[in-house]
Amino acid sequence: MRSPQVTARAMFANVLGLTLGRAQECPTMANVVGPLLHQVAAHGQDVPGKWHSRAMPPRLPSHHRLPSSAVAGFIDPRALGELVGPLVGKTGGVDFLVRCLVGEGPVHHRGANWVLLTLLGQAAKAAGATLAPPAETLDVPLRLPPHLTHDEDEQNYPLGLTLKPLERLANRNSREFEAMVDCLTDGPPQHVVANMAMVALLGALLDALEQA
Amino acid sequence: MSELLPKGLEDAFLSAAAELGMCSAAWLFVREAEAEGKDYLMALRDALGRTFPVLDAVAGARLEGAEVPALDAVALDTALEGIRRVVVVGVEAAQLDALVARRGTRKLALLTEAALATDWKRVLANFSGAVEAVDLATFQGWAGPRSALLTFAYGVSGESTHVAPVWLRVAGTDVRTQFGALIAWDVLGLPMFVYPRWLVEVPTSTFTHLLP
Repeated sequence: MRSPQVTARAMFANVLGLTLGRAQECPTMANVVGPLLHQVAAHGQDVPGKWHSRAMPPRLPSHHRLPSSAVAGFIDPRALGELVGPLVGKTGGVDFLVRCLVGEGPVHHRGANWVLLTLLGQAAKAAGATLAPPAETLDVPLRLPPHLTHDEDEQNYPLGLTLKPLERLANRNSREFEAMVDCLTDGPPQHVVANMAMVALLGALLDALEQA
Repeated sequence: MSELLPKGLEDAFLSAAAELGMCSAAWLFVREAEAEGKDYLMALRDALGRTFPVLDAVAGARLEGAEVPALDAVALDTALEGIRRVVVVGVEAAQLDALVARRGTRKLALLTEAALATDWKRVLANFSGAVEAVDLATFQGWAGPRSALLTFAYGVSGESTHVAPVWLRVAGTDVRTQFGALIAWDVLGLPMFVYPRWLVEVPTSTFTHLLP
């Protein structure tokens, strides 16, 4: 049985793969990222076998069971910082964002964040997108106890939510738009920061594709 | 207790450690003991070393000619670059004095929680209002991407170090992504020889910065 979250992630990865495949011929994509993408996409598939196989994430048939240290072995925080850095601009805080994305929380989130953001970065680059601080963002507060959120200037993530891409989905003043913002900005940091980075990258990618 | 030593020395050290910090108090007592002679210093180590492992390490190092570790101002300034607010977890008078002296416009707070019976009003009075008090219920009010949690570490051995137990109550998985930097300041600079009671072992990877 696929969970909606896993299915959405697999679909997202598949769409990214199509985008990248059309955009460029990339050996790295085929040799390194491709299998990872396949693995992420495979999360949504039923795996025949014994009960313990069903309890674990599905794997490529030829692979041995991965040790936990290997799950995050491919993560390159420096490369992710170089990708996210232009979105943040001069305000700083890239190290903090990168730590939220791939340095804290469950290891599968760290790995998934790295894979999806790296692929998005490749897609944006292949489409000729220029990565820069988004023109209009919504400040996204850290997840703090409500009674301690008294210093709004200091208690936001260094990267806000880019609003323009969401206007492709709903009118700015609509309830739906407000709900989308709410969904993207709620949750633990490894989700929220990834959401903000992905929306910013998707916005840059879509703008570049339209201009091409 | 050696006949060389006055009665009540253990209680005296405990009081000093509560308000100066284990390492600052250790160097104070070691210097005072040394002024009475090397035998006196050796007696101090023999009498109190097992109970106070930081004192044991400092006394042992001094008997071998070590000096008080110099403050690495460059490392401190580098770790605090872009940081506007610092919440200090634990007490070490020498380092707190340095933080206050170099604070500029940076705000400083001290978490008023410790395993020892600390008179926090008296501790804070030393800083003439430059350091504010926060407790476990309120310290997250200082959170933010440009905020840091700073604690004192006691020697680094391999990939682990020792810190005050209250650090574990502060730096939960939720809090870790609420502060831009998680800093450990190694105030001892050498490994402990006896079992490090009063302290807890944590991986150095717990921190974003490890100051010498």
